[in-house]
Amino acid sequence: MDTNEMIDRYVNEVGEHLPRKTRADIEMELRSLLLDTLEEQSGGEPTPKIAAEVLREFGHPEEIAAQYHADEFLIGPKVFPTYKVVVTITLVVIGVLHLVGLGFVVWQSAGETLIDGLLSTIFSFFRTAVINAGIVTLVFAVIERVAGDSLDLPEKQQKTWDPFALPPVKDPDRINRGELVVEIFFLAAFAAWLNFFPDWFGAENFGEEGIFALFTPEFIALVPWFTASLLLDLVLKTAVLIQGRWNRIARWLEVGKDLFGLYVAYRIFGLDEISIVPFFTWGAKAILGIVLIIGALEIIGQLYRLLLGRPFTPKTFIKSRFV
Amino acid sequence: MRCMATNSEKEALYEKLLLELRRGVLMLAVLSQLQDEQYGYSLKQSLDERGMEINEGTLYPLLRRLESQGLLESDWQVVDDTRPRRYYKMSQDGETVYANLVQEWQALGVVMDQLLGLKKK
Repeated sequence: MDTNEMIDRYVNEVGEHLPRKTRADIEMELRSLLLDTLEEQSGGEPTPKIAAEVLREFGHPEEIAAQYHADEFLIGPKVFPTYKVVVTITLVVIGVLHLVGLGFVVWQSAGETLIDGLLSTIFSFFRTAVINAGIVTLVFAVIERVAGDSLDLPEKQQKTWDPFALPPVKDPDRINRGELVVEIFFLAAFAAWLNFFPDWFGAENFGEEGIFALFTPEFIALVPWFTASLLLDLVLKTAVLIQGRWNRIARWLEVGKDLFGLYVAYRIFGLDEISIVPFFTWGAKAILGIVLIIGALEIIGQLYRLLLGRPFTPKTFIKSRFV
Repeated sequence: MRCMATNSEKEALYEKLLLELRRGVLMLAVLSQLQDEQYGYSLKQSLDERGMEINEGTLYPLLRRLESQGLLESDWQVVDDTRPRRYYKMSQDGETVYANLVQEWQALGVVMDQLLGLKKK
Protein backbone atom coordinates (compact mmCIF):
# COMPACT_ATOMS: atom_id res chain seq x y z
CA MET A 1 0.00 0.00 0.00
CA ASP A 2 1.50 3.38 -0.97
CA THR A 3 1.08 6.58 1.04
CA ASN A 4 -1.72 8.01 -1.11
CA GLU A 5 -3.70 4.80 -0.86
CA MET A 6 -3.23 4.74 2.91
CA ILE A 7 -4.42 8.34 3.25
CA ASP A 8 -7.38 7.67 0.94
CA ARG A 9 -8.37 4.70 3.06
CA TYR A 10 -8.05 6.68 6.29
CA VAL A 11 -10.07 9.62 4.96
CA ASN A 12 -12.70 7.24 3.62
CA GLU A 13 -12.90 5.44 6.95
CA VAL A 14 -13.42 8.72 8.81
CA GLY A 15 -16.03 9.73 6.21
CA GLU A 16 -17.93 6.48 6.80
CA HIS A 17 -18.77 7.78 10.27
CA LEU A 18 -19.77 11.28 9.26
CA PRO A 19 -23.16 12.63 8.21
CA ARG A 20 -23.58 13.16 4.48
CA LYS A 21 -24.10 16.92 4.80
CA THR A 22 -20.55 17.66 5.93
CA ARG A 23 -18.72 14.54 4.81
CA ALA A 24 -17.26 15.70 1.49
CA ASP A 25 -16.02 18.97 2.96
CA ILE A 26 -14.43 17.35 6.02
CA GLU A 27 -12.86 14.64 3.85
CA MET A 28 -11.34 17.27 1.56
CA GLU A 29 -9.95 19.25 4.46
CA LEU A 30 -8.68 16.19 6.29
CA ARG A 31 -6.86 15.00 3.17
CA SER A 32 -5.24 18.42 2.76
CA LEU A 33 -4.20 18.47 6.45
CA LEU A 34 -2.77 14.97 6.28
CA LEU A 35 -0.77 15.78 3.15
CA ASP A 36 0.60 18.94 4.80
CA THR A 37 1.63 17.02 7.90
CA LEU A 38 3.08 14.15 5.90
CA GLU A 39 5.08 16.47 3.68
CA GLU A 40 6.50 18.28 6.69
CA GLN A 41 7.31 15.17 8.71
CA SER A 42 8.86 13.30 5.81
CA GLY A 43 10.88 16.24 4.53
CA GLY A 44 9.11 15.92 1.18
CA GLU A 45 9.85 12.20 0.79
CA PRO A 46 6.87 10.36 2.26
CA THR A 47 7.01 6.62 2.93
CA PRO A 48 4.21 4.30 4.09
CA LYS A 49 5.93 4.01 7.48
CA ILE A 50 5.93 7.80 8.02
CA ALA A 51 2.34 8.00 6.71
CA ALA A 52 1.32 5.37 9.26
CA GLU A 53 2.96 7.40 12.04
CA VAL A 54 1.12 10.53 10.91
CA LEU A 55 -2.19 8.69 10.88
CA ARG A 56 -1.56 7.26 14.35
CA GLU A 57 -0.87 10.78 15.60
CA PHE A 58 -4.15 11.96 14.12
CA GLY A 59 -5.96 9.15 15.89
CA HIS A 60 -8.40 6.33 15.32
CA PRO A 61 -10.75 7.16 12.40
CA GLU A 62 -13.83 6.71 14.56
CA GLU A 63 -12.40 8.96 17.23
CA ILE A 64 -11.64 11.67 14.67
CA ALA A 65 -15.16 11.38 13.26
CA ALA A 66 -16.54 11.60 16.79
CA GLN A 67 -14.53 14.78 17.41
CA TYR A 68 -15.94 16.36 14.28
CA HIS A 69 -19.45 15.54 15.32
CA ALA A 70 -19.18 15.22 19.05
CA ASP A 71 -22.78 16.26 19.64
CA GLU A 72 -24.42 14.60 16.65
CA PHE A 73 -24.03 10.92 17.54
CA LEU A 74 -26.98 9.05 18.83
CA ILE A 75 -24.54 6.47 20.21
CA GLY A 76 -20.90 7.50 19.90
CA PRO A 77 -17.83 5.31 19.36
CA LYS A 78 -17.02 5.18 23.07
CA VAL A 79 -20.27 3.47 23.98
CA PHE A 80 -20.94 1.70 20.69
CA PRO A 81 -18.89 -1.52 21.23
CA THR A 82 -20.77 -2.27 24.48
CA TYR A 83 -24.03 -1.36 22.81
CA LYS A 84 -23.26 -3.77 19.96
CA VAL A 85 -22.63 -6.64 22.40
CA VAL A 86 -25.86 -5.97 24.32
CA VAL A 87 -27.95 -5.71 21.14
CA THR A 88 -26.37 -8.90 19.76
CA ILE A 89 -27.09 -10.83 22.97
CA THR A 90 -30.67 -9.50 23.03
CA LEU A 91 -31.28 -10.51 19.41
CA VAL A 92 -29.66 -13.93 19.86
CA VAL A 93 -31.85 -14.68 22.90
CA ILE A 94 -34.98 -13.56 21.01
CA GLY A 95 -33.87 -15.59 17.98
CA VAL A 96 -33.28 -18.77 20.01
CA LEU A 97 -36.64 -18.45 21.78
CA HIS A 98 -38.41 -18.03 18.44
CA LEU A 99 -36.53 -20.96 16.93
CA VAL A 100 -37.78 -23.12 19.78
CA GLY A 101 -41.26 -21.75 19.10
CA LEU A 102 -40.83 -22.49 15.41
CA GLY A 103 -39.85 -26.08 16.17
CA PHE A 104 -42.96 -26.42 18.31
CA VAL A 105 -45.14 -25.03 15.48
CA VAL A 106 -43.65 -27.47 12.94
CA TRP A 107 -44.13 -30.36 15.37
CA GLN A 108 -47.73 -29.51 16.24
CA SER A 109 -49.19 -28.21 12.96
CA ALA A 110 -49.74 -29.29 9.39
CA GLY A 111 -51.03 -27.77 6.13
CA GLU A 112 -52.39 -24.23 6.29
CA THR A 113 -52.06 -24.12 10.08
CA LEU A 114 -48.36 -24.75 9.59
CA ILE A 115 -47.97 -21.80 7.19
CA ASP A 116 -49.99 -19.54 9.53
CA GLY A 117 -47.87 -20.67 12.45
CA LEU A 118 -44.61 -20.10 10.55
CA LEU A 119 -45.66 -16.63 9.40
CA SER A 120 -46.88 -15.57 12.82
CA THR A 121 -43.59 -16.76 14.41
CA ILE A 122 -41.54 -14.86 11.82
CA PHE A 123 -43.56 -11.67 12.33
CA SER A 124 -43.40 -12.11 16.10
CA PHE A 125 -39.59 -12.39 15.86
CA PHE A 126 -39.29 -9.14 13.91
CA ARG A 127 -41.74 -7.30 16.15
CA THR A 128 -40.03 -8.43 19.37
CA ALA A 129 -36.57 -7.80 17.92
CA VAL A 130 -37.41 -4.25 16.82
CA ILE A 131 -39.06 -3.35 20.15
CA ASN A 132 -36.21 -4.73 22.27
CA ALA A 133 -33.45 -3.30 20.06
CA GLY A 134 -35.28 0.03 20.31
CA ILE A 135 -35.36 -0.11 24.10
CA VAL A 136 -31.62 -0.99 24.26
CA THR A 137 -30.85 1.85 21.82
CA LEU A 138 -32.82 4.28 23.92
CA VAL A 139 -31.01 3.26 27.10
CA PHE A 140 -27.59 3.62 25.43
CA ALA A 141 -28.55 6.96 23.88
CA VAL A 142 -29.29 8.18 27.42
CA ILE A 143 -25.95 6.78 28.68
CA GLU A 144 -24.19 8.56 25.79
CA ARG A 145 -25.73 11.87 26.78
CA VAL A 146 -25.23 11.50 30.52
CA ALA A 147 -21.76 9.94 30.63
CA GLY A 148 -20.41 10.02 27.05
CA ASP A 149 -17.85 12.77 27.68
CA SER A 150 -16.30 11.09 30.70
CA LEU A 151 -15.75 7.77 28.93
CA ASP A 152 -12.67 6.75 26.96
CA LEU A 153 -12.53 5.03 23.60
CA PRO A 154 -12.33 1.26 24.29
CA GLU A 155 -8.73 0.24 24.96
CA LYS A 156 -8.99 -2.66 22.54
CA GLN A 157 -9.98 -0.30 19.73
CA GLN A 158 -7.04 1.99 20.45
CA LYS A 159 -4.55 -0.88 20.63
CA THR A 160 -5.71 -2.68 17.51
CA TRP A 161 -5.69 0.46 15.41
CA ASP A 162 -3.27 -0.20 12.55
CA PRO A 163 -3.09 2.16 9.53
CA PHE A 164 -1.81 -0.72 7.38
CA ALA A 165 -5.00 -2.67 8.07
CA LEU A 166 -7.45 0.03 6.97
CA PRO A 167 -10.15 -1.37 4.69
CA PRO A 168 -9.89 -0.41 1.01
CA VAL A 169 -12.07 2.39 -0.33
CA LYS A 170 -15.24 0.81 -1.58
CA ASP A 171 -16.68 1.81 -4.90
CA PRO A 172 -20.16 0.27 -5.03
CA ASP A 173 -20.78 1.73 -8.49
CA ARG A 174 -17.87 -0.07 -10.11
CA ILE A 175 -19.00 -3.12 -12.09
CA ASN A 176 -17.43 -6.50 -12.48
CA ARG A 177 -17.93 -7.13 -16.19
CA GLY A 178 -17.37 -10.89 -16.03
CA GLU A 179 -19.84 -11.26 -13.16
CA LEU A 180 -22.42 -9.12 -14.96
CA VAL A 181 -22.10 -11.10 -18.20
CA VAL A 182 -22.64 -14.38 -16.33
CA GLU A 183 -25.71 -12.90 -14.55
CA ILE A 184 -27.18 -11.68 -17.87
CA PHE A 185 -26.59 -15.09 -19.45
CA PHE A 186 -28.35 -16.94 -16.64
CA LEU A 187 -31.23 -14.44 -16.58
CA ALA A 188 -31.78 -14.93 -20.33
CA ALA A 189 -31.46 -18.71 -20.01
CA PHE A 190 -33.93 -18.80 -17.09
CA ALA A 191 -36.48 -16.60 -18.91
CA ALA A 192 -36.17 -18.79 -22.03
CA TRP A 193 -36.50 -21.99 -20.00
CA LEU A 194 -39.57 -20.65 -18.19
CA ASN A 195 -41.34 -19.66 -21.42
CA PHE A 196 -40.14 -21.99 -24.15
CA PHE A 197 -39.55 -25.22 -22.28
CA PRO A 198 -42.26 -25.32 -19.60
CA ASP A 199 -42.29 -29.12 -19.65
CA TRP A 200 -38.77 -29.07 -18.22
CA PHE A 201 -40.09 -27.84 -14.90
CA GLY A 202 -43.13 -30.01 -14.91
CA ALA A 203 -45.67 -27.87 -16.75
CA GLU A 204 -46.74 -30.06 -19.60
CA ASN A 205 -49.45 -29.38 -22.17
CA PHE A 206 -51.90 -32.08 -23.00
CA GLY A 207 -54.30 -30.93 -25.67
CA GLU A 208 -56.03 -27.56 -25.81
CA GLU A 209 -57.07 -27.44 -22.16
CA GLY A 210 -53.55 -27.55 -20.86
CA ILE A 211 -53.03 -29.91 -17.96
CA PHE A 212 -50.08 -29.03 -15.82
CA ALA A 213 -48.23 -31.85 -14.24
CA LEU A 214 -46.51 -29.98 -11.42
CA PHE A 215 -47.70 -26.37 -11.24
CA THR A 216 -51.25 -25.08 -10.99
CA PRO A 217 -52.81 -23.02 -13.80
CA GLU A 218 -52.94 -20.05 -11.36
CA PHE A 219 -49.17 -20.13 -11.10
CA ILE A 220 -48.66 -20.62 -14.83
CA ALA A 221 -50.89 -17.55 -15.39
CA LEU A 222 -48.33 -15.52 -13.44
CA VAL A 223 -45.36 -16.73 -15.51
CA PRO A 224 -45.59 -13.71 -17.89
CA TRP A 225 -45.32 -11.39 -14.84
CA PHE A 226 -42.36 -13.37 -13.59
CA THR A 227 -40.80 -13.20 -17.06
CA ALA A 228 -41.36 -9.44 -17.21
CA SER A 229 -39.52 -9.10 -13.90
CA LEU A 230 -36.60 -11.16 -15.26
CA LEU A 231 -36.51 -9.15 -18.49
CA LEU A 232 -36.46 -5.86 -16.58
CA ASP A 233 -33.46 -7.13 -14.65
CA LEU A 234 -31.83 -8.29 -17.88
CA VAL A 235 -32.33 -4.96 -19.68
CA LEU A 236 -31.07 -2.97 -16.70
CA LYS A 237 -27.94 -5.12 -16.28
CA THR A 238 -27.22 -4.93 -20.01
CA ALA A 239 -27.54 -1.13 -19.94
CA VAL A 240 -25.18 -0.94 -16.94
CA LEU A 241 -22.73 -3.26 -18.71
CA ILE A 242 -22.73 -1.00 -21.78
CA GLN A 243 -22.37 2.13 -19.65
CA GLY A 244 -19.49 0.67 -17.66
CA ARG A 245 -20.71 1.52 -14.13
CA TRP A 246 -23.77 2.09 -11.99
CA ASN A 247 -25.10 5.64 -11.82
CA ARG A 248 -27.90 7.28 -9.87
CA ILE A 249 -30.54 6.78 -12.58
CA ALA A 250 -29.62 3.09 -12.90
CA ARG A 251 -29.86 2.73 -9.10
CA TRP A 252 -33.36 4.25 -9.06
CA LEU A 253 -34.37 1.97 -11.93
CA GLU A 254 -32.99 -0.93 -9.90
CA VAL A 255 -35.28 0.05 -7.01
CA GLY A 256 -38.25 0.14 -9.42
CA LYS A 257 -37.29 -3.23 -10.86
CA ASP A 258 -36.92 -4.74 -7.38
CA LEU A 259 -40.29 -3.33 -6.30
CA PHE A 260 -41.89 -4.93 -9.34
CA GLY A 261 -40.12 -8.22 -8.57
CA LEU A 262 -41.37 -8.02 -4.99
CA TYR A 263 -44.91 -7.44 -6.25
CA VAL A 264 -44.71 -10.51 -8.49
CA ALA A 265 -43.30 -12.59 -5.64
CA TYR A 266 -46.13 -11.35 -3.41
CA ARG A 267 -48.74 -12.36 -6.01
CA ILE A 268 -47.26 -15.85 -6.28
CA PHE A 269 -47.08 -16.05 -2.48
CA GLY A 270 -50.76 -15.10 -2.33
CA LEU A 271 -51.88 -18.02 -4.52
CA ASP A 272 -53.86 -20.75 -2.76
CA GLU A 273 -51.89 -23.41 -4.55
CA ILE A 274 -48.64 -23.00 -6.45
CA SER A 275 -48.15 -26.67 -7.17
CA ILE A 276 -50.57 -29.56 -7.31
CA VAL A 277 -48.27 -31.24 -4.81
CA PRO A 278 -49.08 -29.66 -1.40
CA PHE A 279 -45.55 -30.17 -0.10
CA PHE A 280 -44.13 -28.10 -2.99
CA THR A 281 -46.63 -25.32 -2.30
CA TRP A 282 -45.56 -25.14 1.37
CA GLY A 283 -41.88 -25.24 0.40
CA ALA A 284 -42.32 -22.57 -2.28
CA LYS A 285 -44.31 -20.35 0.11
CA ALA A 286 -41.68 -20.66 2.83
CA ILE A 287 -38.97 -19.69 0.33
CA LEU A 288 -41.10 -16.84 -1.06
CA GLY A 289 -41.75 -15.59 2.49
CA ILE A 290 -37.99 -15.33 3.07
CA VAL A 291 -37.51 -13.75 -0.39
CA LEU A 292 -40.17 -11.13 0.41
CA ILE A 293 -38.56 -10.21 3.74
CA ILE A 294 -35.01 -10.07 2.34
CA GLY A 295 -36.23 -8.23 -0.78
CA ALA A 296 -38.04 -5.61 1.32
CA LEU A 297 -34.93 -5.10 3.49
CA GLU A 298 -32.79 -4.77 0.37
CA ILE A 299 -35.07 -2.09 -1.04
CA ILE A 300 -34.92 -0.20 2.26
CA GLY A 301 -31.12 -0.44 2.06
CA GLN A 302 -31.09 0.82 -1.53
CA LEU A 303 -33.37 3.74 -0.70
CA TYR A 304 -31.28 4.57 2.38
CA ARG A 305 -28.14 4.69 0.25
CA LEU A 306 -29.79 6.70 -2.53
CA LEU A 307 -31.39 9.25 -0.23
CA LEU A 308 -28.65 9.56 2.40
CA GLY A 309 -25.65 8.81 0.23
CA ARG A 310 -24.00 6.18 2.37
CA PRO A 311 -24.10 2.40 2.50
CA PHE A 312 -26.70 0.88 4.76
CA THR A 313 -25.16 -1.03 7.63
CA PRO A 314 -26.58 -1.41 11.11
CA LYS A 315 -23.55 0.55 12.33
CA THR A 316 -23.99 3.61 10.10
CA PHE A 317 -27.74 3.47 10.58
CA ILE A 318 -27.66 3.48 14.34
CA LYS A 319 -24.56 5.51 15.05
CA SER A 320 -25.52 8.77 13.47
CA ARG A 321 -28.69 10.74 13.14
CA PHE A 322 -30.41 11.23 9.85
CA VAL A 323 -29.18 14.46 8.35
CA MET B 1 -14.51 1.13 51.38
CA ARG B 2 -12.51 2.82 48.62
CA CYS B 3 -9.58 0.81 47.25
CA MET B 4 -6.17 2.39 46.78
CA ALA B 5 -5.64 3.36 43.15
CA THR B 6 -2.68 1.77 41.37
CA ASN B 7 0.02 3.92 39.82
CA SER B 8 -1.37 3.47 36.32
CA GLU B 9 -4.83 4.46 37.54
CA LYS B 10 -3.37 7.56 39.19
CA GLU B 11 -1.57 8.44 35.99
CA ALA B 12 -4.75 7.93 33.97
CA LEU B 13 -6.68 10.15 36.36
CA TYR B 14 -4.00 12.83 36.17
CA GLU B 15 -4.06 12.71 32.36
CA LYS B 16 -7.80 13.06 32.39
CA LEU B 17 -7.74 16.04 34.73
CA LEU B 18 -4.99 17.66 32.66
CA LEU B 19 -7.07 17.16 29.54
CA GLU B 20 -10.07 18.82 31.18
CA LEU B 21 -7.91 21.71 32.35
CA ARG B 22 -6.49 22.25 28.87
CA ARG B 23 -9.80 21.83 27.09
CA GLY B 24 -11.09 25.16 28.32
CA VAL B 25 -8.04 27.15 27.30
CA LEU B 26 -7.49 25.53 23.89
CA MET B 27 -10.24 27.58 22.33
CA LEU B 28 -8.68 30.80 23.59
CA ALA B 29 -5.23 29.70 22.42
CA VAL B 30 -6.57 28.92 18.95
CA LEU B 31 -8.41 32.25 18.69
CA SER B 32 -5.26 34.09 19.73
CA GLN B 33 -3.42 32.76 16.69
CA LEU B 34 -6.16 33.49 14.20
CA GLN B 35 -6.11 37.25 14.14
CA ASP B 36 -4.38 36.71 10.80
CA GLU B 37 -5.54 33.92 8.56
CA GLN B 38 -3.81 30.54 8.79
CA TYR B 39 -4.39 27.06 7.45
CA GLY B 40 -4.63 24.04 9.72
CA TYR B 41 -1.04 22.85 9.69
CA SER B 42 0.49 26.34 9.98
CA LEU B 43 -1.78 27.00 12.96
CA LYS B 44 -0.64 23.80 14.64
CA GLN B 45 2.98 24.75 14.10
CA SER B 46 2.35 28.23 15.41
CA LEU B 47 0.80 26.82 18.59
CA ASP B 48 3.53 24.18 18.98
CA GLU B 49 6.25 26.81 18.70
CA ARG B 50 4.63 28.75 21.54
CA GLY B 51 4.46 25.69 23.77
CA MET B 52 0.79 24.87 23.26
CA GLU B 53 0.91 21.40 21.75
CA ILE B 54 -2.45 20.15 20.52
CA ASN B 55 -3.21 16.81 18.98
CA GLU B 56 -4.39 17.07 15.36
CA GLY B 57 -7.50 15.06 16.18
CA THR B 58 -8.50 17.74 18.67
CA LEU B 59 -7.36 20.89 16.87
CA TYR B 60 -8.92 20.44 13.45
CA PRO B 61 -12.41 19.47 14.64
CA LEU B 62 -12.20 22.38 17.11
CA LEU B 63 -11.63 24.79 14.19
CA ARG B 64 -14.81 23.62 12.54
CA ARG B 65 -16.76 23.89 15.76
CA LEU B 66 -15.57 27.46 16.28
CA GLU B 67 -16.54 28.23 12.71
CA SER B 68 -20.00 26.75 13.16
CA GLN B 69 -20.36 28.94 16.27
CA GLY B 70 -19.59 31.98 14.12
CA LEU B 71 -16.28 32.78 15.84
CA LEU B 72 -14.17 31.88 12.80
CA GLU B 73 -14.61 32.17 9.06
CA SER B 74 -12.82 30.14 6.44
CA ASP B 75 -12.28 29.74 2.74
CA TRP B 76 -10.33 27.48 0.42
CA GLN B 77 -7.30 29.09 -1.17
CA VAL B 78 -4.45 28.04 -3.40
CA VAL B 79 -1.35 30.00 -2.42
CA ASP B 80 1.96 29.71 -4.34
CA ASP B 81 0.72 26.88 -6.56
CA THR B 82 0.41 24.44 -3.67
CA ARG B 83 -2.58 22.20 -3.02
CA PRO B 84 -5.84 23.87 -1.94
CA ARG B 85 -5.95 24.62 1.76
CA ARG B 86 -8.67 25.88 4.03
CA TYR B 87 -7.65 29.14 5.67
CA TYR B 88 -9.23 30.21 8.95
CA LYS B 89 -9.50 33.69 10.45
CA MET B 90 -11.37 35.19 13.35
CA SER B 91 -14.71 36.69 12.34
CA GLN B 92 -15.92 40.05 13.63
CA ASP B 93 -18.05 38.31 16.23
CA GLY B 94 -15.04 36.18 17.08
CA GLU B 95 -12.91 39.27 17.70
CA THR B 96 -15.48 40.70 20.10
CA VAL B 97 -15.82 37.41 21.97
CA TYR B 98 -12.04 37.01 22.00
CA ALA B 99 -11.50 40.50 23.49
CA ASN B 100 -14.03 39.73 26.24
CA LEU B 101 -12.50 36.33 26.93
CA VAL B 102 -9.02 37.83 27.22
CA GLN B 103 -10.34 40.22 29.88
CA GLU B 104 -11.99 37.34 31.70
CA TRP B 105 -8.77 35.37 31.46
CA GLN B 106 -6.78 38.20 33.03
CA ALA B 107 -9.23 38.55 35.88
CA LEU B 108 -9.32 34.79 36.39
CA GLY B 109 -5.54 34.68 36.32
CA VAL B 110 -5.32 37.18 39.18
CA VAL B 111 -7.84 35.24 41.25
CA MET B 112 -6.17 31.89 40.56
CA ASP B 113 -2.73 33.24 41.39
CA GLN B 114 -4.11 34.37 44.75
CA LEU B 115 -5.89 31.07 45.35
CA LEU B 116 -2.83 29.05 44.49
CA GLY B 117 -0.56 31.30 46.50
CA LEU B 118 1.52 32.19 43.48
CA LYS B 119 1.18 35.93 44.05
CA LYS B 120 0.86 37.86 47.34
CA LYS B 121 -2.27 39.95 47.96
